[in-house]
Amino acid sequence: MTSGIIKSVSGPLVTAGGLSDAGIGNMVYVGKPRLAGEVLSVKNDTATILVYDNPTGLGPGENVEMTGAPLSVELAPGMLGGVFDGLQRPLGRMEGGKCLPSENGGFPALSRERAWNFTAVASAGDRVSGGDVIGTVEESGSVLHSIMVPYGKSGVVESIQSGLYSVTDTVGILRLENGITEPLTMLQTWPVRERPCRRRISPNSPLCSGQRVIDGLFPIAKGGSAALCGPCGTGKTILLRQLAASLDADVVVYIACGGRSGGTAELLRELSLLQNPRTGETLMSRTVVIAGSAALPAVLEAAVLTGISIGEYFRDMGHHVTVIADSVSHWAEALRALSGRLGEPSGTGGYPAGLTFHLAQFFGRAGCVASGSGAGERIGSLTAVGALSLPDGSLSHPVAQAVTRLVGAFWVLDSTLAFERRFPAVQVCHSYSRYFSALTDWYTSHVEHEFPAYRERVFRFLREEERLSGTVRRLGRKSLSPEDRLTVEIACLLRETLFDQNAFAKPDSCEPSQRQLALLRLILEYDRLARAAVKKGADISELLELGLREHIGYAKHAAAEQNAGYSEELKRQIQAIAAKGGDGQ
Amino acid sequence: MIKEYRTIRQLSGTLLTVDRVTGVTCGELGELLLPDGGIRRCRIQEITGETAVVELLESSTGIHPSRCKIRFLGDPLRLAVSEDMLGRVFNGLGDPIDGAPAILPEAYRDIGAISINPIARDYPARPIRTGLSAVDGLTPLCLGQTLTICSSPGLPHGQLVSQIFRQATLADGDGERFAVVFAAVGVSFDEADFFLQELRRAGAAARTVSFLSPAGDPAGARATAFQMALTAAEYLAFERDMQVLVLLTDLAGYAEALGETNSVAGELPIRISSGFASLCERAGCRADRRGSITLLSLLTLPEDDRSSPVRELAGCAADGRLVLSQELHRAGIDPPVDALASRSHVTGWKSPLDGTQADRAAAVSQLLEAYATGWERRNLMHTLGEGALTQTELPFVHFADAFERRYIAQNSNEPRSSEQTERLGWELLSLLPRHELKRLTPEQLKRIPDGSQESALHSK
Repeated sequence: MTSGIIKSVSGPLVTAGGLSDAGIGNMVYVGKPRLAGEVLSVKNDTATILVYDNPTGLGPGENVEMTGAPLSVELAPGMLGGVFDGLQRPLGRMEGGKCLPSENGGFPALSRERAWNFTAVASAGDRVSGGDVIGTVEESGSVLHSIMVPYGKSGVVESIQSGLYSVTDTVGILRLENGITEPLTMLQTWPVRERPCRRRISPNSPLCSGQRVIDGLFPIAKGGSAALCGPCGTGKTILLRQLAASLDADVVVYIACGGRSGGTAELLRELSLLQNPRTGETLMSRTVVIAGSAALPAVLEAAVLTGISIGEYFRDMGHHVTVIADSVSHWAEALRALSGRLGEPSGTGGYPAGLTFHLAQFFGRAGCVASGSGAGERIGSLTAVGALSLPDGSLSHPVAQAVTRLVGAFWVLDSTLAFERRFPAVQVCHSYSRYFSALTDWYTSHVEHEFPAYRERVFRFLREEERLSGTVRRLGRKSLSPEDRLTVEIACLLRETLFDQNAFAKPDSCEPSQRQLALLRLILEYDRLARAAVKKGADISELLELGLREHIGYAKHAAAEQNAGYSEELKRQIQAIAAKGGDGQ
Repeated sequence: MIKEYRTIRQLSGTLLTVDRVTGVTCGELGELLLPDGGIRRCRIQEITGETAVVELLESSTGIHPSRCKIRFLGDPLRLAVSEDMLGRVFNGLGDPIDGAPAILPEAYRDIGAISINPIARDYPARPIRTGLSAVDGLTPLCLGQTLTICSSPGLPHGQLVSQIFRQATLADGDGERFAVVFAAVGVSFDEADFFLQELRRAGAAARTVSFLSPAGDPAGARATAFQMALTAAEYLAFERDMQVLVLLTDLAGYAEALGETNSVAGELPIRISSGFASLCERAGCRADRRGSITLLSLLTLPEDDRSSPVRELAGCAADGRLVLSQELHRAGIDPPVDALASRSHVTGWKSPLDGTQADRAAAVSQLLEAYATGWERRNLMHTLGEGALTQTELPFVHFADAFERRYIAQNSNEPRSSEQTERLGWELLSLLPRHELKRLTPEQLKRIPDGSQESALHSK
């Protein structure tokens, strides 16, 4: 392999001469400590290199070693349950609630010693091409790891044997179209910046998040993308951690880059203690964690790309994968610092002019994809969820603007709600989801025929409340008309009972849809009765101060079968007041 | 033999350009030799070919570039560590400034950030009792946590911090050794001295290592003082098994110093986030060590400046923040902790919660929700009078007043036990009609004392 000589060092940017055959995006090892770096630009024989690790101690004259390959990930069994840094160097594993920090702290990413039970699916003589499954490994009880022919290769399987193998052992022989034979191993190495997909399908089923405000109002489709936007302290990380635990995905890739240092430790602890209710295994066994350090901003981009590439690999097996990035805005910050150093044209706020393009490397890679050919075709999805941490939660921030062009669901967290400890602090008026129309069929057939109508009614209340909120703030609730007061009251109830979810208390945090609906019906019924009573002239204060809301508040804690009783009680009391109101006239 | 160069081409601000330099590396420490025998330290920022850009870490006054020599020492900036550091005061570069001789170093430590492997991190789970209801009850502080205290100039954050230092005890302490590392960057001498005095008053002076780099120091030294402090803390915590409490003041001064060094190097701003994060990533508990680093950092910005990126970044990097409010201060609430804006990501609780913890969590959540409601309604009442409020809204206003006067406000020499704080919370909830307490389950509502307490509360 060729090597070059360092000419200059300026922060994480190094220029080196003698690298005329360097390609953009190639991985290099820089200097005596062999720090990982990536080639950003080449001019004559001088390459500009971004060094990912701390560049202290580098000086001119030191060697730069070419690898000839672009920044890549290793894909094979052994990733689930693992914790890696942004360059996929293993940090350790979580097993049985205990952390086992990795000893060597470096490459290779995946253990070469560990043996896996490989079951051949293809047989000798089969004609296979990139993406076809040749065998499987039961990596964890819930995730079947399919070993696929790497993209770009096709031919006839000469031989293949089941058995115990390490990831680099030869499990079979492939005769390529040009007659050359090549060993098949479980391990494949793939560049992080792109992965082909055979056919894209539009998403049509929701990814159940276990968060009522998301599932009910702003759903995300399997294969969709969503951004979570809010100022610091509004519970973004907590919400993402809850999603990592409660999403109904087969595989979760969690990219923790640039957030709180303690946050990653909490996530790991939680995932390795909590059980996946659908499989009975720990949640960690379906999760891959990429932990980038904010102290090394250059690694952030690599962390995001590594994470999404691992996600795409599992997607191609036909799994439903969710990739969570906390946070995308730190990555955008890193891009800004970098583009400034490179002297690239800058757009709004000093961010690179191609910010949307960069961010599309994460959000744009979400999708529902069919892979494999013929009878082996499988449909998998990759859902991308990213958090944006912006000063004061400003939605006009250039990063927010770029992201809204890329995502289908946008969840805005609000600090006023967070101040009141209303979690998840999702603000209804600025959040949106473009997926609901595509998912309407699913909701009407799987949840409830009337669901879209219910949702519309809930929105109407919340929008009305927003309209009236100015008056309430300036003049008080007393100044509203009886109907409007009822509206504000109902909107309040909807938020309190349906959308507030305590992250810590167990029975509340992961709700089945039927229970949500029962609560919703109860509240809408209350509204219908009370509104009719108000029309008849009943005193609104009396209606509101009756303590009916107390019943609905309790219904939230009560078991579903008790709710019917509350509903009856409610009807009786309202009718009593309505009757009194009628008398008054 | 160390080479000495006489090839300083340029000095502008604190940046030196040196020609024909060979065999040096980025980040290497150098010494500028003045004609009168004085030495000023500097550090290599950037090397292109044989030209090095060197940042002066000490004052640049009186330097004639053509008459000086410069030499490079082969290592990055390091701190001499040993247990003798305790009780001593150093400057931002790690030299003693308390008049006593240099310490006998046991080792030299690189001050560059090496963050704790997230896998090796232990979850902060041992609560520190500060005796302050606003902290213990609402935003608990745990061993190994990072907490940012957001304040404004003129607020009594100094008193609050020194109260925490005076009263802090471990709920489950078992004879561990404690140490304090204090670093002041970009503040006036008086402010730094106030903290030193307070530490002395708390009887902690002999267990304290201090690093002072006041506002008059060159940016380079100010930017290293916090790293020095964490290097010392790492040594004491992870090699000497001490529970170390680090106090950094002021993050705004640190951000300023980072901005200055960046801008002189001709780079774009803000790697402040990476600066803050690398400080916070060095604090914590480690599964394989007995000691820990608890990091308190103070950030003073004008209160209305909520959109400041510094505030955002400092808030994101830490495990919690305690916000002091101008408005409460004016209302005579001391300490003026804004309970709604403050929060802690670390609760010291296990999740899922057991029974009593769930009760406590629900009570806190209910207290804050009721306070938020009362706070809003009170503002309305102040503009429109009591008549604008409905009968259900009025009790919330009374509650908000009582909550501030009885729960948040606290005499500076009257620590409350966590049981007292908890009981106070339940008592305050009795001011509100039961059916308004929607965050509590019917069982939890039974823990609220009877209404007879109300009068007792009002009389106090």
